[in-house]
Amino acid sequence: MRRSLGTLAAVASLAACGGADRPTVDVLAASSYTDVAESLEALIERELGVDVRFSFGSSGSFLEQLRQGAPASVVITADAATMERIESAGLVDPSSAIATNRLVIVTADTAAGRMIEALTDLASTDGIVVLCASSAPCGAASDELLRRAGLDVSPASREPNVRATLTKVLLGEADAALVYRTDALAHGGLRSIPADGEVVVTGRAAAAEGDARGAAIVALLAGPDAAEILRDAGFEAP
Amino acid sequence: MYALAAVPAILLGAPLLALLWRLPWTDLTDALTSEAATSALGLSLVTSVIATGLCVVFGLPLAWALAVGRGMPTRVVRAFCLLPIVLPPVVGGVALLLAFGRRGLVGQWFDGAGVQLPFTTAGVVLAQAFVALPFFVLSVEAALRQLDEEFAEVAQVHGASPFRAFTAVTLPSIGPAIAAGAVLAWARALGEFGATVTFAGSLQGRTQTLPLAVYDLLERDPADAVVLSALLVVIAVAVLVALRDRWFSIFRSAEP
Amino acid sequence: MSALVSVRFRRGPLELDHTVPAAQFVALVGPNGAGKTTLLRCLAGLEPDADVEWHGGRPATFGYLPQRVSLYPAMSLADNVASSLRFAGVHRRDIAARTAALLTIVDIGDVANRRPHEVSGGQRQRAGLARAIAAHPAVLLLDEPFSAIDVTTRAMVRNRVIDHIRDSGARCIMATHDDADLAASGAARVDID
Repeated sequence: MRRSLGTLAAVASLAACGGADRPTVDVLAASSYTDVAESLEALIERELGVDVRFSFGSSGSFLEQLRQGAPASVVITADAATMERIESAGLVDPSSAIATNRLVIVTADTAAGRMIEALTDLASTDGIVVLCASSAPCGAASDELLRRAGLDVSPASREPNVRATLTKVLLGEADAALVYRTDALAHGGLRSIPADGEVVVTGRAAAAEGDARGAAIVALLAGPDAAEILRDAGFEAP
Repeated sequence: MYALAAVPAILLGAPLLALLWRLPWTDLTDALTSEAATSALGLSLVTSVIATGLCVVFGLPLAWALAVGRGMPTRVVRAFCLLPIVLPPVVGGVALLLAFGRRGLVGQWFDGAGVQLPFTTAGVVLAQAFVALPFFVLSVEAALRQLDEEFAEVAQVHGASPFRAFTAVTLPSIGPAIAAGAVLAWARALGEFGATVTFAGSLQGRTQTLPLAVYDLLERDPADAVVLSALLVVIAVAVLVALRDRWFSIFRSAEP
Repeated sequence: MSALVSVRFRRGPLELDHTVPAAQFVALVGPNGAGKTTLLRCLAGLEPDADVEWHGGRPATFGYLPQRVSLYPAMSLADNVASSLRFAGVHRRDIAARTAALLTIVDIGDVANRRPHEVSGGQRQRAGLARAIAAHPAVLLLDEPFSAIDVTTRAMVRNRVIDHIRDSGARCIMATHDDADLAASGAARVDID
C-alpha cells in the first residue's frame, strides 16, 4: 500500500514537472522486493539521474508479460530458475545475481503455532500449515527444502504467492507457513524460526536486450551500495 | 457510429478470439485429462452447483422479503445483499475470513464446535455462494416486484392459503426469473477466484477450482492454462446457447 | 328484500356505503370510477380496511373474476380452471372430467392447452369465468363478466353461465354496464354512484 502510494506520488510529481527531462525507467520486480524497492529507487535515482517506476508481480508471470511486450528496462526475479527461462527466451541480456533470500518458518500466536519449534514440526503438527504454490519461487524453494529434509508436509493450501501465504498466518487462519526471511522481517510482530537447510533463492536482475540504461541499473543493483540496502532488509549477498 | 460500436465489440471479442487462436489443438486432450485439470473441473462443478442450490433455497425467501418489505430496514438489508456485486472479490474473501475464519466474529464459535471453513471445500462453496447470491436475489426480487399481485389474490379468494398461493401461482409465474437468476449465480460461482483463494486457499482436489488452477498453471504451463480458460469459455457459451430459446419463450409467456 | 351484506369503505375521495340484497343475482350498476370494482374487492376480503358485515354469516367459499381477469400466466387455460378445483380440495380423480365440462360450458375446449398470452381477450375472460364458477362456491363475485367476449358468442356464453349458476344455487354479485346481463339473469339492481 505504502509502495503504491509512493508510486502514485512519483507519477504525480512527474506530471507536475511536465516536461522534466529526466527519463523514466520501468522496473518489473518480484513482489518479495516490494518492501526494499523504495530505498533502491532512491539509490538509482540519485546515482543515475533517472526516474524509476517499480511495478511488482509474481516472478512466474514475468516471462509471459515480457513476451507480450511489457515495457520494462529491468526485470528482477525472485529466483534463478525463473530468470533462466526469461534469458533462454532471449528477452533480456545476461543477468546478474543481486541478493539471496532464505526461507523461515513463521507462526501465528495460536496454540498449534506456539508449539512449532523447527522444520520437522511442520510435518507432525495438528495445526494448519500453508505453503506457496509450487509454481511460485517461494513454493519451489519450500518443496526443495522439505524434500532435502525428508519431510512430508500436508499443507492446507498452496497460496499463489508469498504475500498471500504470509497473510494467512498474519490473520491467524494458518498456524505456520514457510515464507522468505525478508517477508518475516518486514512484519516484526511475527514469530519466525530459521528453517535449517541450505536452500537459498537467488534474486537476479537483467536488463532488457540492448537497453543501456537498464544495464546501468543492473550494475548498480549488483554493486556494494545496493547490497547494503538489501542486507538491511534481510537479504544476503549472493 | 459503426466505428464507435466496433471499439467495445473488439474489446469484448478480441480476448476470446485470442484464446482460441492460442489454443494448442494437438495437446488438447493431454491438457484436459491432466490430473490438475480433471480434479479442478470436478471440484468446480460440484461446488458451483451446491453454491447455486444454496442461493436458490435461501435467496428465494430473501428476495421475497425484499420485494414485500418497505422502509428503511428493507433498504439497509438490500444494500448489504448487493454489496458483494460491487465489492472486489478479494475484499469479500477478507471479509469472509473476518466473519467465518477461526478467529472470526462467527467463525470462532464454529471453531469451538470443531467446524472448519477456511481451507475446506465447504469454504469454497461459502465463498462462491457469497459472491453469487446477489445475482440470484436481484433477478428474483425484480420479478417479484413487477409481478401482478392480483394472481395471488385470486388464488386466495378461491381458497388457497397464502403459502399455497405463493407456491402454486406466484412461483411458477416467476419461473423464468428464478431460472435466469440461478444460471447467473452458477456462472458467477463457477468463475469465482478472488474470494475463493483468499478465504479457502488453493489446494488441488480440495479447494483448487478451475479459475485457481488456471492462475496456477499460467506460471507453470501457460499452454495448459489456455486450454482450461477456453474450457471455461466453452461452458459459458454453452449455457447461453442452451438457454437462449427456452429463456426467451419463457419470458414471452410471462407477459400478462 | 332482506339484506345479504353491508359494506362500508373509505379511501381518499372514494366513499362506499352499500347494502346488497339477498337475491340470487345482484347487479352493481353505475359509472366508471364509482367503486363497483372496489366493492367487489371488499366482498372478496381483499380490502382489509373495509367494514364488511355478512348478515347470515360470511360465506365459506367464493368464486372471483376480477376486471382484468388475471389468469395465472404460467398455467394453461385448463390448469387455470383446474386450480380452483384443487384449491377447493376436489378429489384429484374428478378434476380432469370437471375441468373438461367447465371448458365446454364457456366453449374454449379447443384452446384449453394454450397459455393466457396465446389466446384472445375474450377467451381469457371465458377461462376466468370457468375458473370462478368451477368449485361451486357459495358466492360469485364477477367484475364485468361478459364485456370482452365478442358479440357473436356473448349471449350464448352468458346464458350458459347464468344457467349454470342458477342450477348450482350460488349467489352471484356482478358489476356490469350491460343491460342484457340484468335481463338474462333477472338480477336485483344496486346503483353505485
